[in-house]
Amino acid sequence: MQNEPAGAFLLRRNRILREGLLIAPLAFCADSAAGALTLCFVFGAVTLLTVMLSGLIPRRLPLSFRIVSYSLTAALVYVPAALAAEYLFPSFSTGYHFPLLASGLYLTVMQESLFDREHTKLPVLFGQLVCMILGVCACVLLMGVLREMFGAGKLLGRVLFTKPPLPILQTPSAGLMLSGGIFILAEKYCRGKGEA
Amino acid sequence: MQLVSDYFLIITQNLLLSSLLGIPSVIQSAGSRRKLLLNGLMTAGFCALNNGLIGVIRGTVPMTEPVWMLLCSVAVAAASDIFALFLLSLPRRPEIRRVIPQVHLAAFSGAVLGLMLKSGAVSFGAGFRFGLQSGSGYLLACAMLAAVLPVVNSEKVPASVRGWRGLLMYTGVLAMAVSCFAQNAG
Repeated sequence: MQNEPAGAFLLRRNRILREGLLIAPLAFCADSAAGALTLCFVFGAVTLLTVMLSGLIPRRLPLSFRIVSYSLTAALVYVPAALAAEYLFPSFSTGYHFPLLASGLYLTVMQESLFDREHTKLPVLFGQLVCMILGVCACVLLMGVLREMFGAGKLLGRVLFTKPPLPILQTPSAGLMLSGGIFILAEKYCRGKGEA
Repeated sequence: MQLVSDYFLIITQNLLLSSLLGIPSVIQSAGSRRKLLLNGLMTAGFCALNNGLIGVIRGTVPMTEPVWMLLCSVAVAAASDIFALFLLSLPRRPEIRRVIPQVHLAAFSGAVLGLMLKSGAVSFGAGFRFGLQSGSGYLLACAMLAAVLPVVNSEKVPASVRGWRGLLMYTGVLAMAVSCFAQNAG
């Protein structure tokens, strides 16, 4: 695992994309390019800071306490991230889907089983983490752009179609199906490259 | 007739199918029916208990900022996770160790945290009732998904769609049907 290039974490080793760990915020918040940008910002900040800070939690602790510590760290990190998002993106509203980015599940998976902390140098680990975040952000932006273009007939507020071709894409359930479609295409691509 | 009406109400105001909460924990449990139903059952229990506790906190300490609510919700989820693990450790039976990952999945599920953030209850009783109602809807949705699990995990399904990806597409179709039903009913 330590010899894995950081680029592999964009898609092939990206567990968030290959195990569908961020579905609800993706389907609810990425319904426009602006919403997707906000989600990328909050997701990137929360993930980067939490994974780095969680590295300080000793591995000697029992797993249950480590999981609890990761979730509490993520919730603490979410507070300044949400305040910054409120300042930078006027359309940002806390709601109840953004805070779910601090839910322990995907951070625990990333922290516990993805990064080989004992055999990999810190700059390499950092590169892998950044590549993973970039991979997820590319997927989120793709979703946001597609849904705004075909669902609302606009792109960043500019009208592209006077009559939107697929208005149903703006609904969360269609967002769920679209994200499922993107995950299936990503999996098909990885399998085509010989990755199970 | 009342039962049928309650059933449709639970389906149209469903955590999993209307709010799309808790899907990652369903995906993680998509390996077997037993795991999925166990996840539904545990999530329903945590929804009821945690909403009761957060109701007490909301009733005692008024919080205007939603971010403080998030911190409280995660702290309550952590406390109930440790409490559940303590209860499970009491019988001292080794097979219980296999259930522990499911306990973590349910305790930190988006369904439980999302419901705590959505709930406006200010007492234990009101929060517990609200959590129990929403949790039973989640369990019902898990049972509906468990029914199709053998089909989506079957060898006949193409490899890239098999398993949780197929289940995700099916959940999307169900969610779409539920939102259409809710619109027509409303």
